[in-house]
Amino acid sequence: MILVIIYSAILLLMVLIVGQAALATVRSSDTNETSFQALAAAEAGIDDYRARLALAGTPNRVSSAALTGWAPIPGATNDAYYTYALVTPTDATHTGEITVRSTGLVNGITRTVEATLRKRTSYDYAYVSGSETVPPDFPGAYTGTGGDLTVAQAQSFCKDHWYDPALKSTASSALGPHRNSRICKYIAVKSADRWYGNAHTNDTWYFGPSLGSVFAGAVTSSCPPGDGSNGCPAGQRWIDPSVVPQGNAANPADYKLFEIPSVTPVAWNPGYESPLDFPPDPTGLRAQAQAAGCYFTGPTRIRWFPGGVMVVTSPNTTDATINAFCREAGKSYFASNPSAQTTMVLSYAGMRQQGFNGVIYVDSTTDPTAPSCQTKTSRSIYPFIIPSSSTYSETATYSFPPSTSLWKSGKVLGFPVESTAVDDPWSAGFCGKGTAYIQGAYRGELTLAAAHDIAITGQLWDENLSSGNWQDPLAANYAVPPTTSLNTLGLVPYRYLYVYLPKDSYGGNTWQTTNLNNLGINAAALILNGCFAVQDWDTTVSRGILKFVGSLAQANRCSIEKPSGNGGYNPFSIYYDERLARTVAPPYMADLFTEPWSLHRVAELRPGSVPLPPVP
Amino acid sequence: MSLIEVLVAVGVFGILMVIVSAFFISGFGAIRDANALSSVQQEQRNAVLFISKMLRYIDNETEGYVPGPAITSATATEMRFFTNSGIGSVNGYPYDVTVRTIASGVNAGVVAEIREPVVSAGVVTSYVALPTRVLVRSAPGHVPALAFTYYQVSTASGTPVDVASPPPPVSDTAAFAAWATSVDKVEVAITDSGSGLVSKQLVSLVNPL
Repeated sequence: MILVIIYSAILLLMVLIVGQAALATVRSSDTNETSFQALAAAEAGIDDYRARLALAGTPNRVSSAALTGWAPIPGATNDAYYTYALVTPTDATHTGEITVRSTGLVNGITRTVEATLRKRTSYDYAYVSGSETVPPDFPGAYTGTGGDLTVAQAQSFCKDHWYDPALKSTASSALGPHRNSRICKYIAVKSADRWYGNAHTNDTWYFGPSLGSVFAGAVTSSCPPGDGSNGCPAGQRWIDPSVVPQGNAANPADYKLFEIPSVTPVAWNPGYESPLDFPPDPTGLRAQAQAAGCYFTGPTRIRWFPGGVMVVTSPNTTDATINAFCREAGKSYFASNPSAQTTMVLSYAGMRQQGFNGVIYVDSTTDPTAPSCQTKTSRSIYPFIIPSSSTYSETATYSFPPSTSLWKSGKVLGFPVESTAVDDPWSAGFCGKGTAYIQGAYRGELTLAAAHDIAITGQLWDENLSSGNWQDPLAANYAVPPTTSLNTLGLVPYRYLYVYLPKDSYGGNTWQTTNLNNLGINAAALILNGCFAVQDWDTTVSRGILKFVGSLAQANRCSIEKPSGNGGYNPFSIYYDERLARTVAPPYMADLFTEPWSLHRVAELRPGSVPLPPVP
Repeated sequence: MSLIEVLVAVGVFGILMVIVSAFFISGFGAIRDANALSSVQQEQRNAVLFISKMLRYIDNETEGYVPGPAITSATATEMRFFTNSGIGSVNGYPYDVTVRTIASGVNAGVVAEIREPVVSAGVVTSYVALPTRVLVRSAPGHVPALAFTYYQVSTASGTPVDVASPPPPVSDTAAFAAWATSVDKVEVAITDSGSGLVSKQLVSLVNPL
């Protein structure tokens, strides 16, 4: 009996040993499986956050139990949880990029992933346009220079995308499947121009075909697939001016049904990309400026100087409407005497300390009695603005950015120049409009929006350019800020962003145009209903090169030089500022876009490197 | 119970024990062999999982309109790439990783050579090589063979499908760069020369390259 018991025990022991050996193998693979599940749980957390963000619209409105602790994965049959957190500080979620960290937990095993979510904005591109045509109301574009269309007709014929049905000619009301490119105005891209960075149009490009050296970056268009009459063939997503030359608006026979033939693709043949909807107006920025920014009223002069100095003249701005940190204590911008206006000197650092959010808004006023609209000592309403700072005099010479006296002569020095014609299309009727006249070397993260126009009156540079890159206009790095700089300037005019170069016939004697030669601009521009232009582009003399370093987004496209090529700027270069790939971002500019937040990057984090809530 | 009955019982149990013991001895041998193979397979599997984790989060070295490359070299048997997969102490910046087979020496086997980014003021200024990680060590009779298969999405049939796409030579810079930016999935396989055991994993790349 004893022996039987002993034998039985030995047999049982052997069975246990064999079983244990088998289990040991199973446990190991089970741990791997659990690790996979934890990763899946972490990624499910990212998906959950994205879904909630899509519903909430902005990161600050997202609510979830997973933001404060472990939340069970909906529908999961095992013990699986996730928790997530918005890594981006709440006050930094307006850059168009946020980072979310999610950790999955399954049976005590955790894995953590970090996802970068991005909203598509204009400053993802070196160049974006809503339409490649010249705006219908652009001075001199459609009338007075041989154009065939009135402004109203240009509005009807040319405002939509090429691939939208439009009137064929002025001779009838017949609609064609596309815009008549032969009667709308376009601006050429020249072979000497250089566009470094991704370029996109919501429209259809009208250029080519010998532009291979112009583009360094992806070129895309929102022209949908079609047969060349109602959309673009895959091999050619652009209109060749040599195939579709300018024609007669009154001649129906000049309507070309197939404007885009299928041809052998060129290397830069644009790919397809969905349209980037432009915000209709900058009112979102107005609210930010009123809350914690600088809110100016009517024509406003802003100059920046190295050291974070901002010099402002804004004769219509009242004390009641502007935050205290945007003016000098004891002084008022409002000009009781329109001929004696106050210019204030502000410190960016001081403003930040007092809560300045970086947004500047220049609004319009319809008040006909506003100081800028009143007659000055010259018995004219020009200039609207009369700067008065003696410390930062407009008639002094500066070494950086280099400039001499802004005016050669004139009884009253200001903007627009005193000798501006009464019917000047750039100024007439705009005495109360929110136009900002800007120049200088800025510091900080700034967004300047204007309810009307923004006029550039001199070099517009990141102040960190002072370390180099600004002496030689022909150098490749001319006007390119250092990659370590954290300064950025967003420009958001409702209508035009233009270079202030009034007609020589009335401006040449008073305005110091040489300050605008070889113009460099460091900015991320978003022009909502107009374009980037040169004032009186058809009369100005040669100004050298124009280099736009940053991002240029415009509703339409305008000329910056004479068609003959002997005036204005040539060549025109657009350099994408790589820092705008989210090292820096103009404050609150991304909030204007309604694009969805999409997954940009996902990375896994080292285990144990992030704090976690207590395990449930 | 008589003495004879006891002796018979002992004899019968003895014979049974011999038979059962023979089975157990044979069984233990099989378990030992299975354990050895399981160990090889487990090591392979761990290696494949580690490589998969790195492949899954392959990422561009830098961003911008001309982003830094994500895959810098690739053949059927080795691969070099940047990855954001939490394999070191630096979070948020891609590591430079080479996965290949070393034929001889102390690190013979399938290895991961990892270079850790050195970050200054938010910018990667250089990389530091970490000690080589031997993922599957070569042993007598067990030499691991590493293989990569690359896939790209093809819409030629009208429906997107993954098709195998061998990499062009790295020396053909333009062709390789174009190929590298369109890789969609990577399959990694490790084969044991002794047993022929294969561990493989098909990995979808999370990030656009």
